[in-house]
Amino acid sequence: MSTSSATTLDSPVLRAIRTHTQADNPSSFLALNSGNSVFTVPGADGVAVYRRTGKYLVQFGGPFADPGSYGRLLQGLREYARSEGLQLVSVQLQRPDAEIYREAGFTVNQIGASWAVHLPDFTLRGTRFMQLRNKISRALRNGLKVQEVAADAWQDALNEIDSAWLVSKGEHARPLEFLVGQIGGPAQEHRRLFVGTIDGTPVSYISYSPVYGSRAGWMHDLSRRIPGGSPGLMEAINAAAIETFVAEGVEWLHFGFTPFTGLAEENELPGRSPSFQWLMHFLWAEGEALYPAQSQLDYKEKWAPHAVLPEYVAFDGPASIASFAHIFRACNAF
Amino acid sequence: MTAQPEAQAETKADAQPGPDAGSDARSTDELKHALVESLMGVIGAPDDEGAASNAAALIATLDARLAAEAA
Repeated sequence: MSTSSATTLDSPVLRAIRTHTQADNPSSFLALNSGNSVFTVPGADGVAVYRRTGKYLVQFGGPFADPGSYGRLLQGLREYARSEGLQLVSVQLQRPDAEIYREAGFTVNQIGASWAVHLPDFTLRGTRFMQLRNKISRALRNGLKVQEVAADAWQDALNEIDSAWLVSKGEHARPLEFLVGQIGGPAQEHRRLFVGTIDGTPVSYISYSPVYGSRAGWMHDLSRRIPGGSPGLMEAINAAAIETFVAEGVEWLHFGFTPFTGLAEENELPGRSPSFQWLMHFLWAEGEALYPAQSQLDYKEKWAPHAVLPEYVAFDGPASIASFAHIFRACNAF
Repeated sequence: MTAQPEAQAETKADAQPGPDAGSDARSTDELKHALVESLMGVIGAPDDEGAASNAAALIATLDARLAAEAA
């Protein structure tokens, strides 16, 4: 087996997430984030992606692997973690991953869900979307122009938006990583970027990452805006992007994973931890300080998603609060 | 959705012997509160093995308690 820190496009990662889509992980492109480590096993077709933080190895998704190699990669990663004295915890597993992990003896719980709109069925017409249409109209009346751009030519503008956004989040705010997208680097040629400007000044942007598998399309990924600007900036940019995607015949727009959302008893697997299950419901109701799940979901529900896809965490052993916390540590949340 | 309905899923605490749920005098609500506090403790001191051990003991106790209450 081997590990490497580079997830450049000449690595097997891009090929793996494009080819091995059995789990239908809508966030699989995050595997290419810089800062990830890649685990492979000689002769096994696929990769496992992870970050090491403290005494924990946090895996992103399940192995992106040929079905014949999946178990070898999982077992290899498990052994590698143990040999390094690390506790393995896997996050953003999809249902097919979760079932395999449970069979392998992991404790598996639902941790949240991802949300997706089927674009051929999507419309902004009707009373349901009246408030959304009004927000979009307001942004456009305030002079917002939306355009798809190449990221490298707009890097300074993106940096200014990022800086202003981060300052608005407070003194101790840190930009999240690992389970959120990036802009730039060798993977950028595969992403799409829509920027909003008012009077020629960039005020907001949304980055979209490709999604492979049976619900192929784009994932509404990193989004930022100048604080205190016009209402409806993000909504107007996303509506413009949807218009573009629909014209191209794109089937699905994904909104990505939100922890603590979409929790349902019927999504749980045998062997789950009832305490951890309770904790997820508690954090949905009271966990704003850890992650603003309710406001994140409010935005996603504006678009009336057609699919709610449960996502899972797997612990190599009993459910572990420390392992759970280290998922957020790997994301630079603390 | 990719999920398949599976009502009344077996829990880990059902499947494996855990701590005696009755050996901790705290109520279930107190254990739940302590579990949340243990999460905050780990976040506050992520490299503190004592905080991790405390959290591990709490979740095992609460798993056993919740399983016993559901039985």
